[in-house]
Amino acid sequence: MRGQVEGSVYMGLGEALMEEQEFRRLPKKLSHALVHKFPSILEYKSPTSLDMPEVTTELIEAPDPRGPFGAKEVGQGPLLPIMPAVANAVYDAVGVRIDEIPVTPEKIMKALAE
Amino acid sequence: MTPVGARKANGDELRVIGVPRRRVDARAKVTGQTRFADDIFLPRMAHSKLLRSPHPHARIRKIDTSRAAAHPGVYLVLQALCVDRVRHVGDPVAAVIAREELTAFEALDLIDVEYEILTTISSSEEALRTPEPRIHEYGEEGNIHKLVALEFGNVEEGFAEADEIFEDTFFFQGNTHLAIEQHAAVAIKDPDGKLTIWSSTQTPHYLHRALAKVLEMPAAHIRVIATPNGGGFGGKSDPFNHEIVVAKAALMLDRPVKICLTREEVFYCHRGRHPVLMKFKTGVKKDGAITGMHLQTLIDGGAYGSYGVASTFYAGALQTTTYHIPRYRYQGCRTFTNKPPCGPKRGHGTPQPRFGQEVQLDKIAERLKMDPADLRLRIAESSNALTANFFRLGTVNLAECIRRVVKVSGWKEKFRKFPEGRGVGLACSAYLTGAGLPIYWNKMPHSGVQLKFDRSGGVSIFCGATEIGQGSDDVLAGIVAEVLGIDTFDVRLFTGDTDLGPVDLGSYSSRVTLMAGNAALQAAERGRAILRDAVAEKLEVPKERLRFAERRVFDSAAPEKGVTFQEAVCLAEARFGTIGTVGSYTPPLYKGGGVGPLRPIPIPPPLLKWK
Amino acid sequence: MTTLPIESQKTSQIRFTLNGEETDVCFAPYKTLLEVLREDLGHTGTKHGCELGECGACAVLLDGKPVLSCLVLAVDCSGRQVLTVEGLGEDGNLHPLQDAFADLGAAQCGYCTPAILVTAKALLDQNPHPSRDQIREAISGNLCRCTGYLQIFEAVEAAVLKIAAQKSTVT
Repeated sequence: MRGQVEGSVYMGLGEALMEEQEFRRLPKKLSHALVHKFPSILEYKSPTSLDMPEVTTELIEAPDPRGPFGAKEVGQGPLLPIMPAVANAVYDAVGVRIDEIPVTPEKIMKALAE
Repeated sequence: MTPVGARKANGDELRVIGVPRRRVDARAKVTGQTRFADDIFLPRMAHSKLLRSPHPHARIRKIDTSRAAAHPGVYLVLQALCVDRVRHVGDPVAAVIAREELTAFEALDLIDVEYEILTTISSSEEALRTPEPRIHEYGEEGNIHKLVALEFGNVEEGFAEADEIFEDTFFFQGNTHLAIEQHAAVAIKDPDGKLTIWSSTQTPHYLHRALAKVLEMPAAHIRVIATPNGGGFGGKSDPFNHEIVVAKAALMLDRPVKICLTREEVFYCHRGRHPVLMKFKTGVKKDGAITGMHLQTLIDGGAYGSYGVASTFYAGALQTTTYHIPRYRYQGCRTFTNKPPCGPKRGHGTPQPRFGQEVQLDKIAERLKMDPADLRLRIAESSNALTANFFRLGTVNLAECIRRVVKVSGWKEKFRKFPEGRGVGLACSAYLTGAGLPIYWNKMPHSGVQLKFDRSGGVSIFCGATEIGQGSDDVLAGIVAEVLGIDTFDVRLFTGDTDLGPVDLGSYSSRVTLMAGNAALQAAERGRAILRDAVAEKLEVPKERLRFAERRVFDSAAPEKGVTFQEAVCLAEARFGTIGTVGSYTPPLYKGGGVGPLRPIPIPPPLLKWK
Repeated sequence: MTTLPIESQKTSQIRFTLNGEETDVCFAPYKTLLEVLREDLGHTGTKHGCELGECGACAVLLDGKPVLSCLVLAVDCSGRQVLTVEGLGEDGNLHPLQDAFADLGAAQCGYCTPAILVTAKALLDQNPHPSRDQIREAISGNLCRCTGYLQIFEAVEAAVLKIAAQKSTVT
């Protein structure tokens, strides 16, 4: 369970801070095709072991009578609050609201400049 | 981390469930012996590569594969993967099957395709503005794939009651799963002429159905084996073209055919997080109580449907599950664009609006001069509540979660108190355990388990559930071992195989532990009942007094009086014949209708003007 | 008779030490060490996620140092020592790193695990008592999408203690 929670925190941080499936048009003289901006692991940024913060996992148990031995979902839910928690923390830290995911340094700098 | 307290089932202390131990598949994984799809090498195996479209939107005028087919080492060229049209860069057009992977790759250059370029639609906004050409003939209209419009209660009344109205627009960029294992599949024509395919799929049952339909052969003659996935996260849930290609080629060539996608191809297969533009309008009272919420989403679906209808519903489904929202309106719109298709990724459709909702809540707290944690505590929804959109919540302990996080993180000492440049943020979420409906609607169970009790004392589990790293094999073994009082090491697992095990719909929607787990629980309890009858008769002990633990079946009143688990199976087999049991799980249907008004509303708003 | 395409011709041959055993192998000259290990020697414990040197899933030890086997030509491995996950255990027992990874939830899907194990072994061979930051640094080239890394760090730390305890009982 802890692995699912921490894995969700990890994946959520990736979404919150850097991961983007973005597209761009090739120049007209080429094919003008709409291609992936980052179709490689090198360019598609995702967190490495250096980026992962320490996480304190607290499990509050509320066994569900409908689940086997009270079990219920843990693999997806813990990812969801990570992105807004990061955006809210950024506001607490520097006073600008980033209304877009991912919350990149460029967006924060731009918001601070405005 | 909180230690898991000792818990009880049927009055007995749990010995397997909740007790830290090595996963049943751990040894295979740390020794590199887990056989992923691309680890399968078979004699005479050929390799396949797909020719993918370089154009985002084009009509295929002509394909000439003769040069490729004549290339030395090429066995077969398949065409018409995309019949008449390519809809995104990377859409497969043709396939080459050759003796070596490199040969297949080289021969792709020898396929001549003539395209007629069509208008490229690159965003949802463009899709709304550009109804023609349609990317698909199906969908709502133009390039709108799916519209959802639901209202629960009178939201306008809710806004009229509010002290403050908040309107905020958010954008969530798409992202992808990036499972480290690239998609791979191997197919063979069985010696008896049937088809077997191994694939890195999360949903062998859906692949089974898709293969039968596309290959026009009886599903009974197709066996799908889902190999353990080297990460899934939703990305291996769709039946893919490459799976169809190797299956078709193996049948035609009568030799094993393998494909493993390159990383670049995986990026273009995608089925990941949808880019979503969303607008929240929320009415609140001065004390923070929400009076109504209106959510609109504009969802960029990419070039195909995937599970996009579900994604569109999901995006509006879970707002009410964390905080009390008495009136709620949702308008969702998923468009087709000429980009790789989006689909289910961990959280399927819900992380994007959850982001907007939780950031807006932070703004609300600030305006109301409330601590964001206190605000959330005040409006947190509780167990067994019936939400405005008719979700009957199960066990929810959100308030306690907030209190614990506030305490452990030192929230009160940190929030708005850190020096410039450091900050803390809070957000909440809830998620559902399993989807109530299968992808194709039917009344059959969503998951089934068969158990075979061997005279050796070993128990075999047969189930369609698919191990994608989440530990589904271990969940099944743990439940069966717990009920039967044996060790997980005494259990053998045969999972993810459509011929060996009963159907499980797949590893998605956080459904496996609930559904396959309950099926395993039922099968194990049925087996235990049979064994108990036989042992009670032999020991002349009332069967209610018999306990299953430590690989023994014994009298709880006199623990020394008992038999080994193996003896129990032998007794039962002698008494009743071969011992095998089944269990199945079908989600309960909750009847909650008629509580409030529910009326579909059209999608009118000029979504384009948001940004 | 048709002529085989060049990629089918196993015209290169090397002798090297694979997991402590002298090994001869013939293969097509363009092949990487990763391909030869998996395709020509049946050692599928070493995985791949990109074949471009980006994900770290194919790491093996070449003369004791971690390398990305998808970027090493097999012809360059003549006479050298290669260690893969198949060679980590000794005398039929798991390596302490393998035990710790299995017991502490450091392997979920298990796909990146073999490469992280050999990379961690290289770290411990060189530095028997690494700090958590040194562990982070050592495996920073190995992507894992399941665990969030923390249980991997803990497993390496647990293995350090176990190896130290084993050494002290030996001496």
